[in-house]
Amino acid sequence: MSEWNEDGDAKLDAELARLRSALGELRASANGEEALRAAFRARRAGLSEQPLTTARAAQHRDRSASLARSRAGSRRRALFAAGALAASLAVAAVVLVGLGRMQRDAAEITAAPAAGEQIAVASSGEREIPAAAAFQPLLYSPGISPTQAYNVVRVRIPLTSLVGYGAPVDGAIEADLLIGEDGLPTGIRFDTADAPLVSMVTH
Amino acid sequence: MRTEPRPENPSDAELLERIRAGAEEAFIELYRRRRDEVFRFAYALGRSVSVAQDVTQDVFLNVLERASRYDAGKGTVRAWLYGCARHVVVDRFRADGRLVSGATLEESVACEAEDDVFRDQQVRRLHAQILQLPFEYRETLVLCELAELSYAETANVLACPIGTVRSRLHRARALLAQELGAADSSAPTMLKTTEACP
Repeated sequence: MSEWNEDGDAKLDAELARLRSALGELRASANGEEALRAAFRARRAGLSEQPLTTARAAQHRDRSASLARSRAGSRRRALFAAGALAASLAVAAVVLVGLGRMQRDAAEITAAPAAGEQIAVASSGEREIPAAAAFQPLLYSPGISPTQAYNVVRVRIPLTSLVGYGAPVDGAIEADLLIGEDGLPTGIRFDTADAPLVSMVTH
Repeated sequence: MRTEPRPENPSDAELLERIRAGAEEAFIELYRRRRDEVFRFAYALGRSVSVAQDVTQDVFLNVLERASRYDAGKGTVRAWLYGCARHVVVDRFRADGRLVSGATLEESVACEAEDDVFRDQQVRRLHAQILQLPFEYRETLVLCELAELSYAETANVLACPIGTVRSRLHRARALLAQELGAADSSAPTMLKTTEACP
């Protein structure tokens, strides 16, 4: 008869004690400490979403399993990234470069659509859809595809960033950014009320 | 301005309280204090160093998000951390499909070269057998026998009655004893065969 059958519990306890002892020698790597510090600071600064996601992405970069989770959160991250981007001066500069394409149409740009309105995409060089609802592709963007899914994010651009182009210092203008699935802005349209200003800074 | 003196060795609960108040050093101290336990727990459940490392990181990211949810009346911070770790591990295993179809013993042995950090052959064999247990038995055994949590703490981590913990642990031990006994009884035969070779 096996020793396990005679005194299985005692033997198992001894084996488990050995495993417990061996486990006790394992140490976690301290490499993640800096990432956790960064995440903590970001959270304290009220920017919890992006740094936490970034830290996780770094941890799971090679794991296909995390892809599903990241896709589930991509919409939220896209909105977050777009908001932060639009608030920055750099975006305003990109927008202004893109405005060069819009000089002919500036007077026809109208207000943003109501919620649920279908997004219309303008093709460069020809006007197949009313300009009132058209997005203009941003410079350096991969272009707007009618078959791709986008998010539309309303942003406010401070006019201080447009002073060099002749805009008044005070106030801000609103625009709709077309955000691709990769979280990057690919198109823009302005409010009707801002058409004169847009026209002015693009001349 | 004078600041309140900090206790030299604050409890986990005090650290968590300070984390809620925005104390970065308290967060790092809790991480340094408990990261090894979380890592060992994750490794014991899955035998993957990289996954255990990821789980450890995720657990402490969760601490940042959920520190306010800790309820001292429901258990210790240590048990709460094990609970967080268990959720992360379960999510990870589900994503990997490991809760649906566990690796066979042969497959587990095959990956030993990469991830088994134990030198002792018997320890490795026991760990491999633990990994063959159904997950609810495995996690109960790891929490009670390896992490040395009490039945009450384990029940809190697993969100089940203490009686369930007892029965799962009993069943897990019986399965282990049975498997290891079978392995022991076959070992001498293999040894004799080996000895018979010139």
